Amino acid sequence: MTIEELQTLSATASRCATQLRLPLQAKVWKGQSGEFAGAGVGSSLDFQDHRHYAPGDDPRHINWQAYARTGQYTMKLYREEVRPVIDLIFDVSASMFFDPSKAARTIEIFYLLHESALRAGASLNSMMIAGDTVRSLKNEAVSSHHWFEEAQSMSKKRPSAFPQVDRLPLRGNAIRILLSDLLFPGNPEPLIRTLTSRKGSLLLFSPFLESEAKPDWDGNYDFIEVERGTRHSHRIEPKLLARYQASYQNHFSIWHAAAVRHQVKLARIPSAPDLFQSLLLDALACGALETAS
Amino acid sequence: MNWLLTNPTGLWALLGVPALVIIHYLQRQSRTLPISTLFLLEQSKLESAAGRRFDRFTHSVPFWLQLLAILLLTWILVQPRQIKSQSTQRIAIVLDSSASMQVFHKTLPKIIEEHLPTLAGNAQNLEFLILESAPDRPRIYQGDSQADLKKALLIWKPTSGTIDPSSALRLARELVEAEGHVIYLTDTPLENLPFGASLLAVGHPIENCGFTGITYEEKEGALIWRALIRNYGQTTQTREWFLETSEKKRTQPKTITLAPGEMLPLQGKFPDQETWGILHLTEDEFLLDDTLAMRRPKEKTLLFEYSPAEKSASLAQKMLAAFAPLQHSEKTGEADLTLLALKSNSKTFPEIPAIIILDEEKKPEAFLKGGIVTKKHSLMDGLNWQPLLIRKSQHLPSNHSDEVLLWQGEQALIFLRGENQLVFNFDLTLSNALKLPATAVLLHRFCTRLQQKKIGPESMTLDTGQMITIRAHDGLPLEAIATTHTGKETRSSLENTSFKTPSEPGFLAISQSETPLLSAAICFADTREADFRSCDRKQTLDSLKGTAIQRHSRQDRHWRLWFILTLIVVLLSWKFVNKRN
Repeated sequence: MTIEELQTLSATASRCATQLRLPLQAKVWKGQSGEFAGAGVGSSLDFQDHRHYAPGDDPRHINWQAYARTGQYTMKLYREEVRPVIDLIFDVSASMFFDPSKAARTIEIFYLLHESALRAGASLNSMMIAGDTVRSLKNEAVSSHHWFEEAQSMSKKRPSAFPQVDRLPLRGNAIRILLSDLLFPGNPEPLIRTLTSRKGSLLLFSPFLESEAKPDWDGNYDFIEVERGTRHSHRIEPKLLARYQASYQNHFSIWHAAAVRHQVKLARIPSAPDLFQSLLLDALACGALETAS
Repeated sequence: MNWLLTNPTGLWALLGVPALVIIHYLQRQSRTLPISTLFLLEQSKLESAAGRRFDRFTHSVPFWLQLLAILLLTWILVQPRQIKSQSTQRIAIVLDSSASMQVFHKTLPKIIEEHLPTLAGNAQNLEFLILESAPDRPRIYQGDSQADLKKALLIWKPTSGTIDPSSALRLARELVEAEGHVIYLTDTPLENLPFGASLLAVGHPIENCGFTGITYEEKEGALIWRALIRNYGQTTQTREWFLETSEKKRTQPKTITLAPGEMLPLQGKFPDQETWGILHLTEDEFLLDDTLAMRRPKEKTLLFEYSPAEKSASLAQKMLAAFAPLQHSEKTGEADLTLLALKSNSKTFPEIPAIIILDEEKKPEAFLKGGIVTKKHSLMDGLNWQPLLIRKSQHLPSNHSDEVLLWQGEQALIFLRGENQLVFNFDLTLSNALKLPATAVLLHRFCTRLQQKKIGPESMTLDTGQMITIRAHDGLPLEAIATTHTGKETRSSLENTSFKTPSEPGFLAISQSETPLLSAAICFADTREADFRSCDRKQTLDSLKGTAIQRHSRQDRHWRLWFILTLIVVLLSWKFVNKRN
């Protein structure tokens, strides 16, 4: 994919980011001051409560009018405003990019999430993961679109499909956003548990191809496994195709069940039609994104 | 249950199977596709045989339907027939008894074995009947054992001459009935055999040289033999010959060369003091004519006496000079034939074998008039008596039992009295009868007749298998001793005085109460059998196969079902293919 194409996709994502944003309001934040209400008392303009003065309290917040009426020092408490913390984890395994439409949709979502996080003034930590390989991603690399080359180099190493998320430098009390097609075998519980550890919350964005969910296979195929590049001969008959489709649905049913169990929002985003329409289908409905207004 | 494929060429339809596989393989060649959900596919396909190309067909319904259609079509095309149980094929083989088969008869067991599958067809059981084409021969074999059949064929030895096989073929057809096979096994191909017989000719041309016969001639007091050798082959042949006599005495071998078809005469003086000899020729494949037995010929003598009358003595001298078997008898009463000259007034005839002539003393009168009529009789056969001129005279008295041979008007000129008396009822000297050939021939025939009736020793050369009759005393057994060239002697007792000479060349001696009656050399002189140029291999057994199949098997009763099933399968396949498309 060329720089121009990436720029086009980025522009599409930026337009979409004006209408949709990450649901950062729903979380009670702690940490650096910012635009979002924190869990503690802060110095923002939003009044929160009164309480009696205690030694050590900031005398600037003594309610003198109350002292004049009652003769007791009463403190005015204001809401704390903090910056949200977001860990954006981008699964750059080969399955995300083997199909042009899926690759385009993946990149659009990545740009959208990245843009949305930046617009929210979040402390954003972008990371790329492919199997057991983890690389941090700087904002400059994203804005200059050079991240793609790095992502390609990671996927070409043909690592195992299962992302080793325990290698990620996750921050506490952060929103973790995992952008992955979730097409790897195994129980999703350990991955979700890892990504929701240390009071983190998790948003899952999973782009998918219609041809993966409902393929029109019929006959003999030499399948090339995109992760490892190995060839596999199969004859696909209608019965086998039906079993595959059931297996595909079952795979994501397990993911949905695990997501519900851990209060994780899982949004499956089709590769067609355009990005905004695709996001409206599931991401907005499940609360993984919200409207900017 | 045994099945027979009557149209094996229908198996070519099976070539449709590899063609079908190739077509399906080409149609269903793999498409290459990248996949991100292989682990899901493999979870769904635990029971599938991924990776084996052959199994790509295992789930293709049209493929299996088309394969089934090909197999059904093949089954229909090969026209299967179900072999009946307990079916018996009766096979009658008529062997050519002619001597030429000796060259090939050792190969017969092998040839029979080669053609047995064709002859047997599909019958579960076989029954053989082996006959000879010679009608008077016993059956060679009858039964169901192939081993015994081969043994019987090896023992059998053909020795006859050329024989029309029709009667043997008729007998064979009657024995095996219409459903049996009748096969004429010979060495020379024949066309249009009767009685539905099939031909199995097993011969081939060979280069044969052999003796064709022998004659004897008295010349200057010596007996000269003349034998003829013939080359029946297609190429020039070189042979050696020599004469073997008693005590193994042999002449110096001489080499002769014969062009194709050439006949070469050999002759020589019969060795004095020898009564027999054997001419030997270098042996070839056909042995029967490579030797030739010789026996010094000697006829039965006929003792002859005559009355001293002038007329009879004159005729008697002429007869003794002209007819070799006649021998003047010195003793009165032992003669086998007497020449009598009787007066016309003689009242009685002596009851002895005799030739009686009239001794007329009167002056001759005018010639007798009237038509000359000859009775149809073996003695008179072909004789011309019309030139006969007889003068009127007295006649001998005749009676009703006399068999008149020659009439002129009302006058019986020549008649037979009994079987042993020939009466010339006129004076030979007063007629021109002694100048007529008919008179000499009649006298010779009468003498020969008496000679044949005489019981006495004689020597001659006979052909193999020749029917002869000898004179012998009634009530006494005859003993025959047949000796081959190799010295093998066979003794037998003859029940009749008429018999066939041995079928093998050699010598034959017949005696009665130790009195020799016949000493003969037996020669093979059938030139038709010695000529192998028309021998060839040919067989018309193939026609038997079809009838045998029809007889011993039945049509597949379900062939209509298979046909309909084929159509259904083809339509189903077509439907599946269209559905897929």
